[in-house]
Amino acid sequence: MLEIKNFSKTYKGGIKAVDNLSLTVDSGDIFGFVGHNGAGKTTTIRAIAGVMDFDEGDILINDMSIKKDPVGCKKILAYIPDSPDLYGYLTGIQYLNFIADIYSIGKLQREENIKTFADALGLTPSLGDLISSYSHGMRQKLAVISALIHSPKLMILDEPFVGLDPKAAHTLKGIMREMCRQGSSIFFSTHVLDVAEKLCNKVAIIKSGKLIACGDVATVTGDKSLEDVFMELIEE
Amino acid sequence: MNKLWALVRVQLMSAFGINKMIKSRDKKEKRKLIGFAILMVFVGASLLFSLIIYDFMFADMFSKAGVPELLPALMMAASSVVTFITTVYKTNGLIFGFKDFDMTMALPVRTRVVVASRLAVLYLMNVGFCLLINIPSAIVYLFFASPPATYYWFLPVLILFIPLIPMIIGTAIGSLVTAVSSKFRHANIISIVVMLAVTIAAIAFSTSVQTMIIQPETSSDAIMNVAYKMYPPARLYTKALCSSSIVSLAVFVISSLALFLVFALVLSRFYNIINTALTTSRARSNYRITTLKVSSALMALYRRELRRYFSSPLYVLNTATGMVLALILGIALLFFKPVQLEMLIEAPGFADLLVTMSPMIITVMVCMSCTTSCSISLEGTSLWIIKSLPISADTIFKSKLLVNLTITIPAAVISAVLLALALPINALQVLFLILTPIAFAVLTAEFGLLMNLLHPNFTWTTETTVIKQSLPVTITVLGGMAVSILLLVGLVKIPSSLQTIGLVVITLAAFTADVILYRLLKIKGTQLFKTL
Repeated sequence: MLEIKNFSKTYKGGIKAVDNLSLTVDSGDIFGFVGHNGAGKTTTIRAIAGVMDFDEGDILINDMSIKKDPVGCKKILAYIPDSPDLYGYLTGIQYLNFIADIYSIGKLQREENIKTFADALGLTPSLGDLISSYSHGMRQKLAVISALIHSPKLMILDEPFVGLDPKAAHTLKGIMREMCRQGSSIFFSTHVLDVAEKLCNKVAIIKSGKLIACGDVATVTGDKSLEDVFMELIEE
Repeated sequence: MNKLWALVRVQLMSAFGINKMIKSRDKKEKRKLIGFAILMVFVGASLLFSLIIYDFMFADMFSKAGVPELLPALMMAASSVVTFITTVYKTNGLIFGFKDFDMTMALPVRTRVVVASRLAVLYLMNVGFCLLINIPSAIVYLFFASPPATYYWFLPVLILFIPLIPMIIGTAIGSLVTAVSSKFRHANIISIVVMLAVTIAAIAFSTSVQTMIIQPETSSDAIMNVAYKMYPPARLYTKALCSSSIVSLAVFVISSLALFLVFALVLSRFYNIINTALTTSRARSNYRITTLKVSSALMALYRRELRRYFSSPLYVLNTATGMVLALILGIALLFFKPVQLEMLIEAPGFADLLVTMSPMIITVMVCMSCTTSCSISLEGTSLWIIKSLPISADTIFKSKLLVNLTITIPAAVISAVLLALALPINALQVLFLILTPIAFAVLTAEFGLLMNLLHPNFTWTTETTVIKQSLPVTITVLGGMAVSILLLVGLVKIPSSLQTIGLVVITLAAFTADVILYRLLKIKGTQLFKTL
């Protein structure tokens, strides 16, 4: 579903944020991407989502290159950044309808999807209000609903649980598991290693732009916890 | 004091990109900022030059009428009007409702220091305008009168105090507009209408005063009374400056300062309450999912862009005033004949110009109305949304261009029809009265978008930075107006038999440029968008 091939990103001024990163996410995977602050997680995620341009390497989504066919790739993926700034001048429902229009979702399907996910996350009563009146958590919930509206095959999430209340976080985990059971894939970054260990079947650790561990959670951790493995690798 | 200076400094750095210019390691970025600084210096110098010309014209006229001291009085009143309008526009965004409000208020700084820092930046900006307007007129005045020795001592003191009273009135009106509008669902429409009315009233008032002043039959006393009626503190200012009145100086300085201090204290006292009232809206939280309307991607983007446009009164006022003036001109011509209008606005030759050059007059107003030159920057931290959606850059560009054309073309066509009804022009002239503004409307929109793609800014904390103070907006509006005015003057200068051909050539050239720029946007613009 997702194949990152020798991806590197150098920012202006010569700073190499990501260095020759390669990994694969298969259908049905919940893939956790962990690393310290400034390790290159967000840079990688933004490149996968087609939000950021890059020169070296390639990223394939369902065998389509994000460089060569960005629109084709974006049709089947959904992206939520770490701090989703949404359009404050729209109401929640206007925003969701806007996203549904862009993905050409039919009338009945959009109404059904919005109702299902908004009810699940407890946001339905607030959908008529302006997004500018929303709290951080409500914006995060709205971003999650907008990402699910077109039933994506691949979800790219940057720190998805930050700002969500415990109930919403629990609901989101359930939605993620259900999506993967139906054959979609999820690739997300997190600092909460406990969540990564319990939720993911695969995990990758990035340090200073380089991949230092990648594979099934059980293989990467062995008989230790993910936190212990992470600390050992980071301190090496 | 250190805390106050720290807060002022950080705002100044953000407002003018000074910090980026000094600290940026990116040479391209640095070059852009230096280019912008040079352009602003050029704009300032051009403005200064025009002001000096006007000062000499007025000084000559006033001195012949025996009231040379009217020049400093008039300029003082003019700078007060500028301060007032600037303050009304900037209250929401600079004093209240600024983006880093929470971060600033969480600092271990007293509220009155935060308020003082916001007012200080506004004051610095306004005092800049006051110096720009009053210093040249004060120098020109010396050529026409022999003021007392105190003139040189009182002048700098007086200028520093000019912005205070207009700032109080401006902040009060700006807050009131924001407060009233925040209580309604379609709040911004109310803000836009009120602010537009204030701007047009200020323009109309200045024009009527100017008209009265340049009428030869007006007596010098009447002129003085008009100036003082226009702005009463102008009387104190003139008496202090030109008649060496220490009492007037003291009253002007002390009353301005006292009123300002009282205002600042009241503002500090209720700052949090006012800011919360102005910036929070009550959520109804009773929504139920009903039938949703389905649209195409382009229509969805267009509707979003239009909502973005009308969500910001500043954006609308900065880009729609030209078209409102075009409509006012069209409507005025239904009630006044061109000759009457010429007499009304005291512009000799305007009636002839209106008949022969009406397409270019509307074109000048169209060129003032560019929404695209900041539409990319205004995506701000929400840019990720359009970048992650499955839509081509071309579709996004179309939606932004369409919004600009929605603002300009209907207003231009309505104005054209009104002008066609009122003016004695033939069918060919009517055709170009419609076609020429349309050609330039498309050109302005495309050029503005390209400029913004070349010079985007996503790190703004107040919309004012990108809507009013950014390089792409300055280049597009000033460039567009300069080109259209030059073409207008060029057409006037050529023999009248060639004027229609000239207009045809200009219109065809503009349509050709439209096609070329659109292709450039599709290729170069798409590349630029990818790198954002």
